[in-house]
Amino acid sequence: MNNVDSVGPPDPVSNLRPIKYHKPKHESLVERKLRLKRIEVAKWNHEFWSSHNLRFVKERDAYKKCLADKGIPTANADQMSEFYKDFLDRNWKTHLTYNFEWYKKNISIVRLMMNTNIYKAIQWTKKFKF
Amino acid sequence: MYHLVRAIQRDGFQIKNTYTCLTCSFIQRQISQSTLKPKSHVVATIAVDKSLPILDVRQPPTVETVSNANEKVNSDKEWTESRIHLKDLHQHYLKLSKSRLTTLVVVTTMAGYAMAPAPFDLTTFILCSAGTGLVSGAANSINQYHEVPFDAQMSRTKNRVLVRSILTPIHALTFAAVSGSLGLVTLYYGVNPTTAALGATNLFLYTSIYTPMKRISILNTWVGSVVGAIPPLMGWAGCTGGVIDSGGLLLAGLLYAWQFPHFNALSWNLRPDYSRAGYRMMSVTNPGLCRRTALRYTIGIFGLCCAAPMCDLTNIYFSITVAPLNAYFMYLAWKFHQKSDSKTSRNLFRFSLIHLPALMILLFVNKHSLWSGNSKPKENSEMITVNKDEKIISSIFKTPASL
Repeated sequence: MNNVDSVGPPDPVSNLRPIKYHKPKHESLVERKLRLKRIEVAKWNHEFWSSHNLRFVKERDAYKKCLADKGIPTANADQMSEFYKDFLDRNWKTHLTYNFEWYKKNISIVRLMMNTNIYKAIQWTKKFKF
Repeated sequence: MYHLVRAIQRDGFQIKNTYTCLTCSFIQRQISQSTLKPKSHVVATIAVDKSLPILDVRQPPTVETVSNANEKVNSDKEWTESRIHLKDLHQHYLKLSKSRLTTLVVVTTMAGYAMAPAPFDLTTFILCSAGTGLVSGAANSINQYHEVPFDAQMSRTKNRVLVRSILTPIHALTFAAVSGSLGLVTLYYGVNPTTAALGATNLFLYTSIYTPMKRISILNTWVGSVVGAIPPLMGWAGCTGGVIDSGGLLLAGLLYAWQFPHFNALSWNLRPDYSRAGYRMMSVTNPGLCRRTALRYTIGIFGLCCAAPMCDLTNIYFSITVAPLNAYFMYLAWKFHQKSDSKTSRNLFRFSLIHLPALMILLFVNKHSLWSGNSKPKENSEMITVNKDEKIISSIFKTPASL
């Protein structure tokens, strides 16, 4: 691990790729703020999708079991589509709030990245003494 | 030998792709494990073949391809550093701007330009296409910036550059800002303000309305279709100098209508993924409507193609030659409507990919003024001479008056 972040394979449940953020030797305040924010957002994303995807699998299995009890051993695509619609409708509010929350967090990361870049640029210009 | 390795490699990936398209991530893992088997098979065949007398020259490439294959497989299993190599950067940018989609957008813009009744100007044509392409690239990068966790959920999109964290979000946005402003400036100064305004509208519509709307309302497909219909209008406006008449609107209408059979068929097989990732696509929330709109709009395309000669867009032969193409499109949509499964939807989707280029070629070949002795430009030139005469006459009459 040199001086860049490294990206891992996608998580089997949340499908998101974990990132090990590189910590420089002399980390400035802006860099630290950005790194912590990115860790926080990644954790938040991972938690949301883990619980959501687990719930999906669980409810789908329950639905299949329910159909099996009614005497349908393997559900066809049309029967499954009823579950897909139902699951989507039930989670409308969840996705809506998550969506806009994510937009906000994503924008705040970019803002911090911008700050870091400006800070780095200023540090770089300080190298040249006129 | 080399070809054998390549073929197995290719087949291995193809199997993986087709399965991941159809199944959700739960089943995916089992399949991806099974796709690892061909790899070991390849290594085994090579080990056997090495004992046979083979030319030494051929050996290095085979070893290389195997190591490449290993790298490709491993990249999904191991930790990788997100370091960008300068020589790969253009590839990342092409992926960021969804090069295939952008190509389609540029081609429809070119079609719009070519179909417009004003005389063809090569410089404006190139500037118009390049500007549209740049704006489309910007729109796609902003879209991907917003969609990272959602894209990660779907097998169709899980390998995009931002999902893999190859580029940082700010890098993607900087690319979007540069390419977007460059595109809009090109359209504004190189083409005309109307085209630039249409481009800016589309950029806003796609990134700020359509993208969040996917999780909000079923209406997203209609908004997305409007986004698809604007590029030919940009080409049209670029050629005519900002005037959009019935012909341009008809062309936009064709593109608008085409999106429905195309996208509804595509989304039909992705229902499990859409449901889990929260996309309110028609195929999930209202399957009946999804089938009906696909059929309805293929009928709409048929009708619009019949109306094309009336708008002076094409000659009458267009409506005749395009009829079998549209009829078959309607037939496939009808099949999809009657019995919606992965087979009928895939047939409809694949044909939609052939239908659009074929339609555009037929449109151009049967363009109104192409064969009928360039009626429009002639009228224009006559108008100009008449105007000149009038000016001369009026100047003649004016001079004595001023004296």
